Amino acid sequence: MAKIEYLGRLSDICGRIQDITLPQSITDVAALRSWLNTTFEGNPLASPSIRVIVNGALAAETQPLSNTDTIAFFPPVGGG
Amino acid sequence: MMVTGEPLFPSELLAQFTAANPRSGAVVSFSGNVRVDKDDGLTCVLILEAYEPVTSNGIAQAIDTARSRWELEDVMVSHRIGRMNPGETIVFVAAAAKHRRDAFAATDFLMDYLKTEAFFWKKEVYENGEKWIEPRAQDYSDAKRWKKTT
Repeated sequence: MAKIEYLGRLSDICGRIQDITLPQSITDVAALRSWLNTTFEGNPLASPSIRVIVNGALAAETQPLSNTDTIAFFPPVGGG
Repeated sequence: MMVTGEPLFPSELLAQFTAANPRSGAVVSFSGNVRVDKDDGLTCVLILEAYEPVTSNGIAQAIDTARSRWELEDVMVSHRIGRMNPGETIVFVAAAAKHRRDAFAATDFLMDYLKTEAFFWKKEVYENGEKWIEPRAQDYSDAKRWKKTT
């Protein structure tokens, strides 16, 4: 199962963590994004400002995914 | 470098940092604090989230970048996470160098990194609700000053 995390304001909309078995059709970040996006109201994952970290590293939309991955969706960052 | 849920005491951190760097002619430090905002009469609490180890790794990389760009003898970054009250310190950054320009620039650069690129998410909580905060346009244009054009 892949572990999906939602950070910052996304956690209010999507919950904090989901454990999901990825369907065979979900092979990369772009496919996961559009699939998960349809499961929530208001298209929370659609904006390009929502970026993705896979296994601790920033990921491109074309990055391949597997069921052992930890995948985090996150809105714009900023501390200080 | 430290990301911590414990309170930060900037004057103690600065004293430690200065004592650890007796050979540095220049020490510059910055502390960012939760504002006490009286305008709307509401008490605001700040909550910061990190995503470890990504957050700490990113800050460590930014420190490496600062060390490669300026002549620094030491750097300290301490960033608080969790729930903070008005007046409490969110972040403390210090740089020690032979000469002041390097220490000023590195501190300024690291703060711009922390404001716009570090993996933190920030929420203000009021008596009557809460609001997620994203960087302002000014924060992004400040950070752009450090992009190399070549």
